[in-house]
Amino acid sequence: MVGSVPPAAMQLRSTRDEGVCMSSKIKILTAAFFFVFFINSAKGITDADSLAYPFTLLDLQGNKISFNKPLLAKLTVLVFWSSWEIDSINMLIKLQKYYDKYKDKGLSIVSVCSEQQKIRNGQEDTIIELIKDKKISFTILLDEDLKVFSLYRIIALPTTFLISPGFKIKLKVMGIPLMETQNLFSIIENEFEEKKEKTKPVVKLYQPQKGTARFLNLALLEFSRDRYEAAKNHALKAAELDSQYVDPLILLARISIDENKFSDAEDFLTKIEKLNPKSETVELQRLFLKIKLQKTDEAILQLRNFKAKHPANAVALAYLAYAYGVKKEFDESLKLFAVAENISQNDYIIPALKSGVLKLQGKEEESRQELLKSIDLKRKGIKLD
Amino acid sequence: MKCKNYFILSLLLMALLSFTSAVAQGTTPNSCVTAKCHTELVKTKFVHGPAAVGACVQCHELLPNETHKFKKIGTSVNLCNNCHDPIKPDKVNHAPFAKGDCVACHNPHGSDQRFMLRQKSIPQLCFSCHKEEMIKKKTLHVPVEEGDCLVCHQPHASENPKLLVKSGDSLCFMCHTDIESGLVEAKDVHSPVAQCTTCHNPHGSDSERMLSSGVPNLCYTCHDGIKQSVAQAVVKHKAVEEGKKCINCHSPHFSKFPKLLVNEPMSLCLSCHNKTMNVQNGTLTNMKELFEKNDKWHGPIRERDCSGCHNPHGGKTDFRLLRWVYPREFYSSFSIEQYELCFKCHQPTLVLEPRTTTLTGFRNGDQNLHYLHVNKKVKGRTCRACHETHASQKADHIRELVPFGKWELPIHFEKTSDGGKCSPGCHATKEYKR
Repeated sequence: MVGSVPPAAMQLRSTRDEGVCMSSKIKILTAAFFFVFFINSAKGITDADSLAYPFTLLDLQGNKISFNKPLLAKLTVLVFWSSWEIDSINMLIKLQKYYDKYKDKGLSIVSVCSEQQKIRNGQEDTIIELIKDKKISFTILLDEDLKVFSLYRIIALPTTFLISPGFKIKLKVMGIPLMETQNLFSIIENEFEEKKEKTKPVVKLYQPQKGTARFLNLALLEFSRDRYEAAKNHALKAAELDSQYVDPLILLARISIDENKFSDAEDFLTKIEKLNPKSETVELQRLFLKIKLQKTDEAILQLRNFKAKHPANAVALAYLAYAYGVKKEFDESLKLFAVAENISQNDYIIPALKSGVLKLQGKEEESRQELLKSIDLKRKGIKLD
Repeated sequence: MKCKNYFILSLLLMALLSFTSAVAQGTTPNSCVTAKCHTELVKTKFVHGPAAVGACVQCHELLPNETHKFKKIGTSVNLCNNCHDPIKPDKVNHAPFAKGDCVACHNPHGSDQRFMLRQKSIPQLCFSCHKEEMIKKKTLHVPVEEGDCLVCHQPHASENPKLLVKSGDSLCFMCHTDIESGLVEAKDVHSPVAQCTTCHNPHGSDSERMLSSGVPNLCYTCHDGIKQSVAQAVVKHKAVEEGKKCINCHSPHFSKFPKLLVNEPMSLCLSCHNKTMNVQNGTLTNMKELFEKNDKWHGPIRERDCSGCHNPHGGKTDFRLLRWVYPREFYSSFSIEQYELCFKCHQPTLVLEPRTTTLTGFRNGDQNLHYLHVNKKVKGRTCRACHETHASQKADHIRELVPFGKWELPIHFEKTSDGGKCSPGCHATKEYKR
């Protein structure tokens, strides 16, 4: 049967064989109609948040179908259309896809064919043929003399309403405008689809200028493969493209420290500090710089303070461990490395520094193993602090 | 493995000690590298360990019955694997690696390049076999420009085609993280984005942004319908033909707006139509200002979708990029075809039925006043006679002034709860009541 009453539909009632109680139903319906009409007249429109109007129309099989409160479906689509209008047909086709997908979950679609002022001889056959051809299976009602069309103050076809179980209009879309049509289908999808949490990539607070991030990423790739010259070039390019972007400067500072170019490193750290005066990265890198500059005691003191404030910062712990290692306090150093490793297994800096300490301790093979671990982690990718 | 390493390490250490003491004495016993012979082998920036310590016998052995003729011990790969951890083959293996021919790329004695590569740079090495034409392009991918083939390709083996370090888009997203994160938020994604190389040549091209061909031709390879539409357009939309062309309005990767638009549709249009523009056949109104000053908008405008009536790629009419026919004149002999544009949304019976109580509110009792005004063989009033197409300050976007040639007649339209009245220059004050 074409245009059959959908399962779990709204209160669409077929009244073909219910002649006995017709008169009382008509009275109730008329009363309801005037009540709702009164309310809506006060609003004057059939826009979102106003109540829908109840109505009764014949379907293509000649059944009297009532559309009234309460709607049993979780969400009801009411669409006014005509066979002579291409966008109407496109809308029916689109809605059918959603109907197929969600009818068992509580989507109901009622379409009102507002063909002409009077549906003339032969037009009904055209409509039936079209419905068959487009495989439309939701309810098709014929607005024989455009009374419902007028009731809903339709001025453009198609016009589509989303109606809640409480008979409230949630959305009205005239035609198939780009944004609102997308919105219509999004609402339907959101109603019936379980919300899937997309795994979002870590979004940093600062969004660099378009095209900048790729140079930094390339620089990080090069850095991970120890191609420092190339890494520097790309990082400088990123910094040049977006002078407010801190990350390339962090990388440049790190490269400079690795290359023992301490004054360059300090320059970059100063630039970062200007952009982000409270940067913990700068504080940490400066402390590491102190170790490199053999101001170990001073560095240890400040790193301990840093650690007290940020006990879960694995890199800070590794720096502190390294500083103790440089002072040949190996037990303390290895103890701190163990804590750092517990916190983070993915940062190449920890095994890299540990390798250095083990070497100082004369444990060549263990040092080599840590170095390999560090290289392996570095190759997997670098994260900036 | 560890034992083997220790053994090799000790061997090298012994060789180094022996070499150091020999150098101190001015000779290198047991080594082929002397001040006079094979000196160049160890003068490179990166010297292979055995060569550096004069442990030539690690790799070479004297041929029987010969005094100065040597051969390699074993095949290339077997020999290398004596010391180096073997590299595991994968689904895709670089031809020299598959053949076990390490020395095709690496100089076994040393070179000035890292990894003792045979050529002066990685690209030179790669292009000793691969065709260099691929990089002789106007726009090069930055890693290609930098000569760093190994950002994307593995030199030995990979599980991915073309020895790529990662598969598909994940390779590109190693650097292009902005695209990756944008895709997560996007509502609409251009389908070729699943394979970046559909549009981009990863090495370089003669078009902008390494596109395999320029815009719009690249777009037209798939969007043939648009190509036809643009070609057949009577009136050309500047946005399609100038500047970034298709990219002026569409994002090639993703968008949160329909049709991959770079902005919400109406805002996008108004980003250009925010000023008066001179065009071939007249002047285009500053639409932004018009909408700001007039709050009663035509339906498609209320839906913020100019494309309801205008085809941004070029309409088939010769007027204002309109999608379908719409009369330009004040008077017109009525025919339904003339109002093709209007009747894409509105009921044609609006002007076909002389009597109605449902089709329109513009009726006196059941007398259809739209029919009365429009449906005439002679001097039928067109929609524009009374309605401002885009927006006005009056209900149902009725005009303030009727555009009767150069004379603009005030319409004096007033809407009442059950009808309305107007007093234009066309006729005396008339009222209607439903």
